Amino acid sequence: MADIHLQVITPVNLIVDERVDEVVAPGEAGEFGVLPGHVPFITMLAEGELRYKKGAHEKKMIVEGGIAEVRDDKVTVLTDRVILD
Amino acid sequence: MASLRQIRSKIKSVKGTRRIMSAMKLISAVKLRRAQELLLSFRPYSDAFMEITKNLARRCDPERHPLLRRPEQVKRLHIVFMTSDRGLCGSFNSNLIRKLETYLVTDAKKYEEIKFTFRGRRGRDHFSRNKITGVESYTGINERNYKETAEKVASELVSEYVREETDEIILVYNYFRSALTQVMVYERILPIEQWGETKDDSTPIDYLYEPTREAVLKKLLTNYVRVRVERAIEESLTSEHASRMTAMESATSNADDVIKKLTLLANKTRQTMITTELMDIVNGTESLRKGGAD
Repeated sequence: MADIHLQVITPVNLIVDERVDEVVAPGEAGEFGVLPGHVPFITMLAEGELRYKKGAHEKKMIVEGGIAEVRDDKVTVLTDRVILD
Repeated sequence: MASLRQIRSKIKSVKGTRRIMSAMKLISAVKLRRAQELLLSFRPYSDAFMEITKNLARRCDPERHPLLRRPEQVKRLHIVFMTSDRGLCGSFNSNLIRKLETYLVTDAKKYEEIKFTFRGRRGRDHFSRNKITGVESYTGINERNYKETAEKVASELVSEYVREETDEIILVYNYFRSALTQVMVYERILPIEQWGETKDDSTPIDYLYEPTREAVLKKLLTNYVRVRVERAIEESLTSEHASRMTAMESATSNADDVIKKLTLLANKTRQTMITTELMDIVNGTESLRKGGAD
């Protein structure tokens, strides 16, 4: 049931572009999780860990601030730099 | 007919020009590759940025931020016009200038005031001859310093729009479609287009904002303008190199043609000279022999 479209993009790279089950990201006001059916949501990001689940796999990366948008089961993360785990 | 020596010196000069052209072509090819890499990796980011902002503009109340302002009457236009500093790049500048001039005498008539910001010496010089000077003009932009310029241009545009000194801002530049085709585009960056406007009329629910709506709007909207300008400059730079490369390529092959023709001419001239000389000699010996037989 992979039904969230996650995109992680930096000015120099498209890091992630795939369908996932669940996303957890470091919002400036605290960590937040996104499951299908989330309300439209925009947040600034703090420096921290971004995790996402796809089936039994979980992946992690560090994002350095930026902005995230959640809309229609699509999560777009715009960040200046990403450090892959 | 030109003398052999004249033709030869002409060949020599064309060869020199050809060498310069082909060197410029190689340089442009290298620059193009670098610029293209930058551009292609920036495109997904800027596209996503635009999409988010356009969605936001549709969902959020325009009263919330001055950059979301939607003027009722659009009377003052600000055009950011992007050309190159240097020539020798085919129709890169001339097309853009010609189209803008047509635009100015047709569609742009409805505006009461039009302001310009120029990127690139070519556009600025052309329009200053027609007594149109830009509010601001930027030259000497390259792959290393375009980000600072984009930021400067963007912050000026933003403050102008916020002070309500202009109602609409458009970017005019060459969009890089491929190394062979560049298309000129007009893009309205402010007021922000509302994405999906035509699909349905009902205003969809507004976003949730974190930490606060003000903070998010401020960050997103000011960066939006910068991202648009930066993207346009990158497109323009890449197109310039591509255009120059193509122009130099065809100039090189034209020079080859000219050299070929001139060489042919030189050979013909040489042949004619030899024939004439031979005739002289034959005539001379003939008359000598005739004289001897008497």
